[in-house]
Amino acid sequence: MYPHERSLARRMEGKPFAIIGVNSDRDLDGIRSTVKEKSITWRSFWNGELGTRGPISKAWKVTGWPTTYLIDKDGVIRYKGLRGNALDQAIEELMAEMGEEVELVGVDHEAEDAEALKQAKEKAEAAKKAAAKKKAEVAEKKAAEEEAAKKKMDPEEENNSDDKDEDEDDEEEDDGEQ
Amino acid sequence: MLIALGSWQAQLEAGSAWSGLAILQEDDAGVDDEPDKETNAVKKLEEELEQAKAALKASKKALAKYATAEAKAAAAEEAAEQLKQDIAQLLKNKKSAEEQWRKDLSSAKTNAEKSKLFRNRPGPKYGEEFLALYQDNEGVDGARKALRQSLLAGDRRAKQKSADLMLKIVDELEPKERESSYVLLAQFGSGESREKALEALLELAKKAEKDNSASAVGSEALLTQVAGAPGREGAEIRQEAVAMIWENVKADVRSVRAAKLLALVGEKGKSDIAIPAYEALFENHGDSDELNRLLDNPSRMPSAATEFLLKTAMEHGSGQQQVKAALAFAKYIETRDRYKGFYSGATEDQIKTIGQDVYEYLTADSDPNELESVEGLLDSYVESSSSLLDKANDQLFMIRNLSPGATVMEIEGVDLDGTEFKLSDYRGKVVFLDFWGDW
Repeated sequence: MYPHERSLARRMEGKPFAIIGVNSDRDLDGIRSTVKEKSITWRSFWNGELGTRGPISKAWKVTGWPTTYLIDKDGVIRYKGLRGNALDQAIEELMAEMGEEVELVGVDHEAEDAEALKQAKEKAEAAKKAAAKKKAEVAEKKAAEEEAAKKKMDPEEENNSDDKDEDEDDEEEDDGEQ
Repeated sequence: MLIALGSWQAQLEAGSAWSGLAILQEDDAGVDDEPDKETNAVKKLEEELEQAKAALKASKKALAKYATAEAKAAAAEEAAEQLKQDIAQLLKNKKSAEEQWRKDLSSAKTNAEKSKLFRNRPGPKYGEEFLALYQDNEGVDGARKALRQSLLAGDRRAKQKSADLMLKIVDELEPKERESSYVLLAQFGSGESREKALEALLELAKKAEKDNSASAVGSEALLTQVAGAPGREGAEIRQEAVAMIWENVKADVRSVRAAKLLALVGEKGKSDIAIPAYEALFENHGDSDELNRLLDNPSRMPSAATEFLLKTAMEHGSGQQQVKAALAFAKYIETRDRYKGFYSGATEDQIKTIGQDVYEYLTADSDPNELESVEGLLDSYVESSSSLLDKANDQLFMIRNLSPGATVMEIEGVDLDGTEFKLSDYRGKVVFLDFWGDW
């Protein structure tokens, strides 16, 4: 279902359409990282620590996963359990009722999604490379600056050194103080 | 044989000594009147001795060979005995592991514990061991028992492997074992092995019917195996078996055995025979266990026949049956509509799998008022109250609040980052609501 949903989310961006999930994973940290990994960009309610027996799915009498509803702009349930081509068709129908023309039927969502994921990955890798390069440059610059600063600081540091060093100190000033 | 040979040899040796003595006596007498005759006698005796020696050697060799064969037979017997013990031991271990597993399950408190137990059922582990035992002992007498056990207990992979192994040898077995092996393959095999098994069982059934047309009990049992086998392989073979059952039973719809067969034809047959089978079931076995079982647990596969079964029970069944059917029908509508969505763009292969008649049924329009009749029945039932009350209430709730046409219920909660939000925040937009989980 992810590829189809990701493709819908992309194609319907900016339109009066939303995918809302009700997630029934118990492990919140786990599902957070899944959401990142699998590019799940839409929002989900969390069904809580009881997982599939959580309060939302219980109130909705959900016994099988995934269970899906298609709801129109007025909040009326229009379809239940649609997927694939039938889902595309129904979304087109409900969007048309709002005067929105969208083209979903016949779209190869899987292929489109795979292509989009590939591009996003390439982009992310390029960005990562650029960031790494920049970081290296910054680090180099910083190292150079530090080096320079240290050179400047060195004599002062010796001046500030504590009385511990007294014995081996060859500074006249210190000797004089003693 | 040896003893006889031994004593003959002794006689022979005694004979030689005697003839030597005779020669001495003759020498003493100085008489040598028949030298040729004597030489010939010695020669003859010597030849006989050679022959006897050869015979002795041959029989010693035969004895050695016999001893090797006997040792081999003894070894085979020992291997078979060992295998028998190994199988018995494994069966015993499996039984006690299963008992322990059931105990653990009944004392498990949380769902997590339970699902962990379900993931670790003992069966598959033993299936694996039985399979290994068979493969180590493939030629040994009784090894097929291990193979049957791995087919029964193994996980999907072990079952598949066992079924493939059994398919290789099944046609060489004695008729009785061959038949029972095919029955096992029809039940627990998959893909090719199941399809081959269904085909073979149908052939056996046809043969049984031909050989003994007066009583088709043998053939009936086989046909029932073919028609009732799990899975979807060999759809045409199954349909042929169902049609044969229908031909046999329709002449005798009133008999006690007919109830079971009519239910089977109704569940598994295409609409053109399934509907008349259900009609006959209602007419002749209206209060049978078979019919009640169907109403408790109707086929999940949507079809005109299932709809007919449930609607007929809602209209004409006993009070209890009407409610059962109404509950089942409310669930059925949901399942059917899911299928409708799924198969609206079905490919030719998918249509072939579900059958042309089911495809046509799914793409046809349904009665728009069907939920109302369910609601009416359940309403009247809820007033009268009983053990099915909770279920009836749940179904009514779903019809009223969770079916197409209902205003969506509110959801208030938090998203995965902990931010509060409401479903109604999205009013004015088309919303695809997805109950999901990543598992």
